[in-house]
Amino acid sequence: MRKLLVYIVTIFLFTFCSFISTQHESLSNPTELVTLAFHQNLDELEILVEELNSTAQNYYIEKQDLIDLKGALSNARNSYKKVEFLLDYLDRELSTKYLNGAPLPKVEEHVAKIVIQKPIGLQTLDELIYIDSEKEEIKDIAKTLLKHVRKGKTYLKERNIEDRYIFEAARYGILRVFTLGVTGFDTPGSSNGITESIISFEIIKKTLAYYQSQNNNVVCPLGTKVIRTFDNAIQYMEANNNFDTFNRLIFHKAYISILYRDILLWQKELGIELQTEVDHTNKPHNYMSESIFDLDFLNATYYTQIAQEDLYKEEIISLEKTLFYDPILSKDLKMSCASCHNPNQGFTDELPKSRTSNSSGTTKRHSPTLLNSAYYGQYFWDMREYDLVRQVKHVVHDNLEFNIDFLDLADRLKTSEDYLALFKNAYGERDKYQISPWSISNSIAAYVTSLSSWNSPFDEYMKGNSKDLSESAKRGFNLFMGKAACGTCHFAPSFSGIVPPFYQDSESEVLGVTMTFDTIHPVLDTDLGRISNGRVRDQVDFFSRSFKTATVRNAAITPPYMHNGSLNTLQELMHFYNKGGGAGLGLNVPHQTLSDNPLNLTNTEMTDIISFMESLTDTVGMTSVVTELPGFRNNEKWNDRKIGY
Amino acid sequence: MKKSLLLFTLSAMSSIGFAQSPIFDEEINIENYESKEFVMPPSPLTTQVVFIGGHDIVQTTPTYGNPSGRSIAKEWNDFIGFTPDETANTLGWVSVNHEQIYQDDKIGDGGGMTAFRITKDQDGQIVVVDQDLADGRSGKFFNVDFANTVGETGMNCGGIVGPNGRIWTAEEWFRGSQQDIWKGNFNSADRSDSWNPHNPAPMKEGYGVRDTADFTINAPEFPFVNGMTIKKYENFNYMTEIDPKQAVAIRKQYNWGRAGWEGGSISNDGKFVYLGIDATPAPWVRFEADTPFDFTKGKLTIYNETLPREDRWIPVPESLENTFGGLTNYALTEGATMFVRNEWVTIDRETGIIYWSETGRDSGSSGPGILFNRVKEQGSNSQPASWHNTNAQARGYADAFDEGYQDYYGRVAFYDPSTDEIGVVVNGGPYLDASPTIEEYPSKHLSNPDGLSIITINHEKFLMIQEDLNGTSFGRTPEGISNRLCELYLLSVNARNAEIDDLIRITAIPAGAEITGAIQIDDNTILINSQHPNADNAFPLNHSCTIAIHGFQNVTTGLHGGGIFDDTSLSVYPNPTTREITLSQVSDYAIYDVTGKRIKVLRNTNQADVSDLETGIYFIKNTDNEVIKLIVQ
Repeated sequence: MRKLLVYIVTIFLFTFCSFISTQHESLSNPTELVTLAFHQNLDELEILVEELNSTAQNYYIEKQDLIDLKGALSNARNSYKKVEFLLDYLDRELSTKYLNGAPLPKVEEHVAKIVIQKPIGLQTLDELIYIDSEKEEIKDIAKTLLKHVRKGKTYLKERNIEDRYIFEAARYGILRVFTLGVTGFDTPGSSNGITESIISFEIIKKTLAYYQSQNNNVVCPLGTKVIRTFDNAIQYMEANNNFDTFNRLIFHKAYISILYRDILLWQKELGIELQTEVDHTNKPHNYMSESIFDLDFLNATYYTQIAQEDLYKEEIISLEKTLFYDPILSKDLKMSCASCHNPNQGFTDELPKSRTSNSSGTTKRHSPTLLNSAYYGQYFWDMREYDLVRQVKHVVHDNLEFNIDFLDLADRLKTSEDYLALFKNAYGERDKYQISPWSISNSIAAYVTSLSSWNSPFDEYMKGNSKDLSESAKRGFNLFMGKAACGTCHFAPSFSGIVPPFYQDSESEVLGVTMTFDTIHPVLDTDLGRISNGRVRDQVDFFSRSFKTATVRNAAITPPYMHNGSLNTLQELMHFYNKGGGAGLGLNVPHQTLSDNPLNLTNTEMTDIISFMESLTDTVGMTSVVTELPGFRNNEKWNDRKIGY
Repeated sequence: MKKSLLLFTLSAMSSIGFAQSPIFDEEINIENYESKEFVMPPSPLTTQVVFIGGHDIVQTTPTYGNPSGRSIAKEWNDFIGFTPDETANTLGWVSVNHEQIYQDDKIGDGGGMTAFRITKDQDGQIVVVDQDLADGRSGKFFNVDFANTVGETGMNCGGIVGPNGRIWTAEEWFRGSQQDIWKGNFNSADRSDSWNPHNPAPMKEGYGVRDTADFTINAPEFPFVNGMTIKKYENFNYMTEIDPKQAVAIRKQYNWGRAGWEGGSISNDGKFVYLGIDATPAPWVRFEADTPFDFTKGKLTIYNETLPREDRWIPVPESLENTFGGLTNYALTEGATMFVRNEWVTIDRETGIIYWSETGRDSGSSGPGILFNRVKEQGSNSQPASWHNTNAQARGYADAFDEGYQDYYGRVAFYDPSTDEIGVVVNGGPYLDASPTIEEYPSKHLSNPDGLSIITINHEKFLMIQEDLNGTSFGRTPEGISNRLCELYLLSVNARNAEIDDLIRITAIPAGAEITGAIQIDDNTILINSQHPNADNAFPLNHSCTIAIHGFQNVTTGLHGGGIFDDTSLSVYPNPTTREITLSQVSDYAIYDVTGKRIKVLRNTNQADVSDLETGIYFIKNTDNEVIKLIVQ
C-alpha cells in the first residue's frame, strides 16, 4: 500500500517536472540562463576588482583612505561570492592559487628548484587590509589579482556549463559555506563570513531556481522545497548575523544537511547524470553520500592508495589484525604496533613520548592515535610520508622501534606455517609478493584504515539518529566552528587538516608548542617538525615547527596532546590556544599560523568546547584484540611471546 | 517488470527535456530498438608488469660498511634505458631510473637505478633472466652502484640511450649547498641547530644524503678536476654514464658541467651529444666529441638561434666555474637562446633530426616573461626561442619579455642538424584566446610534454609524447571534455606545427598512471614506466612499475582513429588500439549496458574512451533517440 503511494507520488513528481521541461523547449534552457548570468557576474567582478585595484593604488599614494579601501574590498569580495561556486568547480586551481587562496605561502609545484610563491588573492587582501595594512603589498596584490581575474574570465567564458556541473557545484557550494564561510576561514580579517555566506546562498538558489520553474504556474515539489529551504536559510542568517553568536549547529541541522541531501535527490529526480557516470577517477569524498557526517562521506581508498578489493577482502582482514598485535615484527620480539597504539587508550599510549624497543629513552615524538589517521594526504607528525603503506617501513626500520631489516622480517614470517597459510589465503594470487614487505605493509595499512571512527554521539546527533547531545556540547560545537576558530584548521567533518570542500589537500600548522605546559615561563619546543622531515620541498622557512593538523575526534581518550605530548589535559590544551599559542605567550615563533591574539574564551566556553570534543569519541567494534598468535614450529621460544606486548 | 515499465514511461517523458542539454533516460527498454551493430574488436595490445619499484628485490654491493646483500629497489620509476644484446642470446639489458631520493644502507643514499636483463619466452612474454655479475652479485635485479663508484646521485630523472646502447642517467635535482643534499632543514634561518655534516643521523627512513663529507674526484679521464676535493653537493647534478650489464656507474661527465640535467641524445656518428636542462630559462646544449664515441674530450657548446648558421653553437670555455655550477649562467651571459624547461631529448636515427620537449612552466611569480626579463635586465643579449615571441604576440603582448607572458603548456621542438634550425613540432594547448567556439572545442589537450622517444609501428615513425601536467587552471583540463590525467600520445615524426587533434592517444595503460620512460625494445613491444597510478588498480598496478605493452606488430589499422562516415544516421568507428570510439556527429550521448541501465553520459563530443568498458553489449543513444549497439570484445 505504502509502496503504491510512493509510486503515485513519483508519477506526479515526474509528470510535473517533465512538464516544465517540455515548457522550456520554446524558452531558453537553464544552462543557457546560468551561463548568461555567470558571464554577467564575471564582468561585474572584473569591474569591481578594477575599482579595488585603483583604490589600492590611490591608498598607496594616500589619495584614498582605509575606509574606501575596505569598501572596495567588500564590493569585490561580494562580487566574487556571486561567481565562486561555479568558478571553483570549473577551475579549482584558479580559485585556490590565484583568486582566493588561503593567505599562506606555498612552494611552486613541478619544478626541481625551490620557488616560494607568496599568497595572493582576495583572502590575503582581507587579512592585509584589516590586520596588517601593508600598503605596498596591498597595492601589488590588487594589481596581480586584476590580471588573474581578467585572464580567468577569458578562459571561463569559453567553458561549457552543463546541468550536472550546476548541481555538483551547488553541493560543493553548500559545503563551502558551512566549513569555510560561516566559520570565518575565508574572511580572516573582516569577519564578514555570514554576510558573504548569504550572498553565496542567494546565487546558488537563483541558479537552481532555473530548474524549478520559469512560469510560476507549475511546480516541482522537491525543487520548490530546496528553494524554500534556501529562503529560510538566508532569512536565518540575516536574522542572526553575529559571528560570535551564530548557531552553526542549528544552521547545519535545519538547512545545510537538508540542502546537501535534497539537491542530490533533485539531480537524481531530474535524471541528470551523476558524477559517477562521467568521472571514474578516485575522489576524496563520495558524491553520492547524502550527509557530510555520513560514514562513507570520505573515501579511504583515495587517501591510503590501497585498492578497494584489499580493504574488504576477508582473508586480508583476518591477517591484518594478527600482524598488528604480533611482536614478531620487531627484532627482539619486544614491540608490536599495539605497544604504542593501544586499543584501550584510543590507539595511542598515555605517554608524552613512547617507550622504545631497546628499553632506554623515548621515541622522538608522541604516539598519535590511529583512529581516522588514514584520512590524510601525509603521515607522521612531520608529514614525511605520503603513502600509508610505505609508512609501515619507517617503523620497521627505525632503530628505536622494530629495528629490523624488512626483508629479514619477511623471511622470519616465512618460517611459520601458520603465517604461510594466512598470507597464502590473503595474497595467494600475487605469488611473488605473498609474504613480502609489501604484503605485510599492505595488511597493516588496511588495518589502520579499518579504524574508521565516524559514529560518535555527535555524529549520531547530527544525522538525526539521536537527540542525545548535551547543551554544553552543542554550545561547544558552535564555539569550535566560530568564535574559537578551531574549525578553520580542524575542518569538518574529520576535524583535522583536510581542506574542504574537495578534501584533497592536507595541512600542517605552526602553533609554537612549548616544552611543557608552563604559561608563565614558556620555553619553545626544539623539534623543528616538517622543515626537518627530509623532504626537499618541505624545507622552507614557513614549515619550521610546523606539524600535521591532527584530528580532534577521540581527543577525549587520547591524552596527552601535541607532537611532544606536552599538554596533559584538554583543559591545558584549551588554555594554550586561548592564549594564542607560543607567540601569544610572548615567544618568538616565526610564521606561526595560529593567530597570536587571545581568543578571550571564558572558562565556561572552554568547558563547552571540551564537552563537544568529548562527544566525538567512537571506538565501537574496533578495540577487540586477537586471542592467539601464529606459531613457529622451529623456534619454540617465540611461541611464548605476548599478544600486543 | 511493472516497475521497469513504469520507469521507462516516466523517463521517456522526462527525456523530452531541455533543448540543448537533453537529459537521458536512466533506463531504456532495449527491446524497443532495432539497432545497427558495431563491433569493437579486442585490443591488439596487452600489458605485462616487468619490474616493481619499491617491491622487487635488488642485489647490492658492499656499501656504507655493510656487506653485499639485498635490498628493496627504490621507487618512482622514470627513464628507461635499453641496451640490445648483440649476441642475440637475450633481448638485452634494461636500466630504470628512480627519482626517489631515499636513504638506503645497502643501495646508497640519494636517487638510484635498477638494471636487469630480459628475454622473451615462446608466448612473447618478457622474462627477467638470472645473471652473475663480475663483482660477484647474482640474481635478477641489481641496483646500479653509484655510492662506491662515482658518488651518490640525486633524483635520477631522464637520461640518454646512446647509439650502442650506452646509457647515461640525468641528475635533475639541482642543489646549491651542503644543506641542500643533507636530510636537514635548509633554507631555514635556524638550520644550524640540527645540521651537522660530520655526524650523520642514525639510520632511519628518510630522504637526502647522509654522508656529506668532502668528496675527492677520482676521474683520470678528466685531468682538469681529477684529484680535486670538492664539497659533496658539488658532486651532484651531472650526466652520469652507467654500465647496465654490470650494474655499476662509470663516470660523472664533469666535462659537460653541473646543471639540472633532464635528458639527452647522441648522433649516429658518435660526435654530438644534445642535452636538455630543466631550468627557466634554460640553454640548448651540445657536446662535440674530439673522437667519435669518446665523450671525455671535446667541446661543450650552447645554441644561439639569432646568429648566422656557422656561429650558432657558441663554445663554453673549460673552467671550474662552468663545471661546478655556472653553465647556465655562462650561457645566458653569452647570448644563448632561452627556453622554458628543456626536458627529454630523442633522435630519429634515420634522419638524424633531434626532438626535445620544452615542458613549459606554470604561472605565478616565476612566469617565463618575468624570468626572461630578469636575464635581460642583467644586460644579457639572450633572446627567447623565436616561437615564444610568436606565441606572445598572438596573445597580444609585444614580445615574450612581457611579464604577462606565460608558457603553461610547453611544446615538442626539433633541431635539424642539416640546417642548424630549430622549430616547433607541436605546441601544447590549445590556448583559448584564439580558440574556436565551444562546439568546435578540441577533444584533446597537450600539456607539459616531458618524456619523449620514438616508436616505429609498421614502418611509420611516431614520437611518443608523455605528459607531466604542471597544473589544471586556465582551461587546461576542462571538466567533462578532457581529464586531469597525464596522457601518452603518438604523433608522426614528420609533423611540424601540428594541431592537437593530430595526436593519437594510447589508453592501454593503468588508469590514472603518469607515464614516463616509454621506449621501444623490438617491433612488438614497448616498455613504459607508470608513476603514481591511482588506487583503483589492484596491486601491483597501483604502484610505480615498469610495464611492457606488447602487440604493436598487430596494430595494422586504425591507429589514426577517425573513420569515414558515409551514412547520415548515427554510426560509430571503434578503434581497437586506442580503445576510443569516434561517432559520426558531435552531440550528447548516453551509453547503456545490456540491461538498459545508463552507465555513462558524454556531452558535446564525437569521441569517447571506452577502455573501461568490460567485454559485452552496450547501447549508445544520441539526442535524436537513435540507438546503436556496440559489442565490446
